[in-house]
Amino acid sequence: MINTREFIPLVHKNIPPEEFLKVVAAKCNGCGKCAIVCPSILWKMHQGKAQLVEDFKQKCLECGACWQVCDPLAISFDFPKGGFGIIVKYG
Amino acid sequence: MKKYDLIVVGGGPGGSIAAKTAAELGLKTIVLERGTRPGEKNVSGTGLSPKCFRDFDFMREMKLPRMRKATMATLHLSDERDLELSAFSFSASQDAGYEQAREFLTINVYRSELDPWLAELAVKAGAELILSTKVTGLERNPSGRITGVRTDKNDLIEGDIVIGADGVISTVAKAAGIRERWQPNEVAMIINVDFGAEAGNIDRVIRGNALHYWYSAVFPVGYSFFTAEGFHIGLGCYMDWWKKNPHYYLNKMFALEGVQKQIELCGGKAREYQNHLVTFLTAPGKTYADSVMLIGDAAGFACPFEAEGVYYAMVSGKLAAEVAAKAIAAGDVSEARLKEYEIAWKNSTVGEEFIAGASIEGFVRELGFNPEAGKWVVPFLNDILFGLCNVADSHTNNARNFGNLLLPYLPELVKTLKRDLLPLVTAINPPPAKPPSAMVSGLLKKILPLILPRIARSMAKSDNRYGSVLNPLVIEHLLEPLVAARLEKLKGVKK
Repeated sequence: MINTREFIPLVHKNIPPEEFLKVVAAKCNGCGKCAIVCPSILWKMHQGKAQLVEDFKQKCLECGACWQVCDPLAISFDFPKGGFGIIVKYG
Repeated sequence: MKKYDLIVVGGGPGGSIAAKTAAELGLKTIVLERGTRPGEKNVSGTGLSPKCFRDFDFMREMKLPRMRKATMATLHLSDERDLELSAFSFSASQDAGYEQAREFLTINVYRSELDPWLAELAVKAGAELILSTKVTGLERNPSGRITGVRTDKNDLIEGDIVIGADGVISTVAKAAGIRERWQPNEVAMIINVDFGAEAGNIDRVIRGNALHYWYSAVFPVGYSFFTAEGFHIGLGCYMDWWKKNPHYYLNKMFALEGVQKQIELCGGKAREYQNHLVTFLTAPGKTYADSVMLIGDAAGFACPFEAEGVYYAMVSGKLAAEVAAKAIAAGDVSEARLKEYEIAWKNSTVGEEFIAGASIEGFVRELGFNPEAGKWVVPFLNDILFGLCNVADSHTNNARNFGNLLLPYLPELVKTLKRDLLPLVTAINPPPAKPPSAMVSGLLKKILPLILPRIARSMAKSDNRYGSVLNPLVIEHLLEPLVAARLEKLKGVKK
């Protein structure tokens, strides 16, 4: 039986040096929507606050879904600088 | 510092067609793309519609190594047990209105091949293409007028007009004050796995049947689309829909035997995991500001049914470039002047797609993306074929029971008709010029008084419970003349 989570690491990337994805804990209301929608399962809820997993830069697809659903705008997202980030070879 | 007439932010299909058109109209044009090559940041459902080839002559020259013509599509239906019950296929109609529409449903391509080819056309037309460069914001002079863009190379690039072709999460839209971000009910997330496979395998297993839709009672509608040597399997839904992580639903889809068989028979090897946000709007919002126009996904132009995006990006890109050329020639790039762009897209095939946008989007939301609806739609469609074709009972009994088999679905069917289909019919038809009473045609007025008493008499005598609908008198005197009159009228229109 296939577990589709095994596909998550199958990304091509030029890992960006900067923090293109951040959360401000003080603004996070702990709703957990980011953890629900993230297709790469990069958000964990810890003591009622959203936290990024350590290797998020390797796996993040830069879709912006977490930022899109964050009501209190605790998550900030910007695309990595030019020439860096996700490389989609077979889009 | 060089000054440009037109700065296009984003080197996807929309940006490239905008740049190509602008360069051909004599504008000094630059395209800024944040990827190391065009198409590197893009994920798509792979299918280019026949419209792309009808409306853009140069598209007919397109020869990409891994493209596959999809001449057939299949809709698979699976129920609450996550078991496939039935599948329906269809092909391009030979009565379709133009050559390409008769020839194929879509041409499936990879964006890593399509986007560089289109960008090359823009460059050949005279546009400049700068890669690996992200636009960080718009530059304004002290009076607030936009004078160009800032890039992450700490560059200021000056230009009269900026076209935002930078996708769903648009820096240009934000910097121009048009939109901070979409609402969760306006945007969908699509997750997708690309598989590589040998062309020979796909030819054998799939042939032209290269568009498979997986409609389900447990996951939002999914798809498997095939190119010449690979395929995408994925699904998606509105941002405000997800109750569980997308992988919960994707696993349900991959658990289907039909999906597994496709991977196995094609010898598919997973090679890339992808995700993309797409807009599903009832109507696009504002698409222009002082010195700024938005095209394609940045404007929310994905169609509200399948989220087809490339065609609408190309059309809007062309229109925006044409408006830009006229505005620059007139020396006026103000918002008031650029409203011409909104008028142009509203009068184009882009605007046409949104005439019934609200009802189409509602239909997709309530039926397409909604596994709850799948709980009755799937067995309903299955029971139509089962009721007609099964050999579990005598055909006399099957025919007798057909109505009873489908009767339980009637409440949901009526609800859907009222909620989704009637508004659609109203939206696509212009309001009647005459009052409804005048719409009873002359023919009907003549027939009804003659026929109604005869029908009533025959129904009273009939012991057939379908007598009211299948009454031969109704068919002969009402249905046949009405259909004949309608066909006559259509013939007249065609002439």
